[in-house]
Amino acid sequence: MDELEMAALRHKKRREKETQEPDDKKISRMFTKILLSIIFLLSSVIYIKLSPENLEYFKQTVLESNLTFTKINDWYHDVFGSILPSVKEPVDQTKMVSSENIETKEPYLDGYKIKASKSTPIKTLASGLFVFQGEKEGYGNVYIIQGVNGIDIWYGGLTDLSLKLYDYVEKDTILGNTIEDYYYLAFVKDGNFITYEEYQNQI
Amino acid sequence: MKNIKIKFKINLTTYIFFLIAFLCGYFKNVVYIFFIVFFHELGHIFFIKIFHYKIVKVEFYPFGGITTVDKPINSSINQELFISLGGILFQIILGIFLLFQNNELLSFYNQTILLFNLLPIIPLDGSVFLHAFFEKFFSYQKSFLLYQIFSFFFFLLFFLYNIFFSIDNYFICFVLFVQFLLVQKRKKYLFYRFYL
Repeated sequence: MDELEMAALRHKKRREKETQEPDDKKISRMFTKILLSIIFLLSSVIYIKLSPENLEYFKQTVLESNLTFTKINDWYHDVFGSILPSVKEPVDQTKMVSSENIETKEPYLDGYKIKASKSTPIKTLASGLFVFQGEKEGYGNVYIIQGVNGIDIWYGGLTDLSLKLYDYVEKDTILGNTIEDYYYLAFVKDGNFITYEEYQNQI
Repeated sequence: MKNIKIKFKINLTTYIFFLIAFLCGYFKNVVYIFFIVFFHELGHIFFIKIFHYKIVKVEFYPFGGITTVDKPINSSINQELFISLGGILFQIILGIFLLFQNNELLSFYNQTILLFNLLPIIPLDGSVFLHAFFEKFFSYQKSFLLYQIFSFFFFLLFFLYNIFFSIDNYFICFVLFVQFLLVQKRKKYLFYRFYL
């Protein structure tokens, strides 16, 4: 930095010192912020306690559903280009390769149960963002992958996960190995379960 | 080292970049990039403190950081070379440490940012090597002119490379171009060094 810039910086600091806020204004601003946050907390508690539907809605939107990361990423990619500079070619989504024995599926709860040999590696059906890892009723340990077309795919009954949460995965990457000789699949679009035929039509 | 408080600033565009990246689902990538840039700037700060100079501010842009240091105008170019080497040295140490870890993404980002900083474009660290090289052989006036010409030439090459491989690096190219223009604005005061 040269002498001229140093002098300009000193001048700017001296002028900033003259127009600083007095202390009581700072305290009253902080007090207002504390009061506003208390009001927000009380109003949300009142909303939850009002009826059980409110509680269900709160739980669904805040604790369970995910923001549609892949859709926002796709939209941004179409308009501005990718947010992170990368040299990789994007994977062609329209090529559908059926995994080993997905035709042997049988309906199970809201999804499908597919037979496979014990401890076989299972590949992902489509690329997307890995958003959830945990217990779901009836399926056991479930991994949810949020796809780019708004359809989440649930994979149940797998172990030895090779990914970390919130990783972007490509199509046909190995997710894990089956525990017993079957694994579960379920397709969810906008919070509702859809069938495999509808999923095929959406691609 | 009495005065240890350093002013860290995060540029507005960095906040916007973080917000958009979080909305797109890239949590880990962005945190890794910021950590590597921070470590690189720590390298610069460490070597600046060896000379007991004052750091005016450290500003973080989306893919890099710029450290503004208050050093005498007629200090030799070797001091600047030493400070630039500091940032690169810290990144090399981090790279060696990461060889024993299993983190592929972090090592990839470390290598990419290290190679990017070695490009001879103003204001990256590679341009200081270019300037020092020219000053060994030519007079100050001629070496500074050659430094600007070669830096702009490499910047054009970098820009064409991005367009050819369609990497969306336009923000980085814009920042590099703006820094080049700022050097043009300040360059007439550099000759005050001959009065002191």
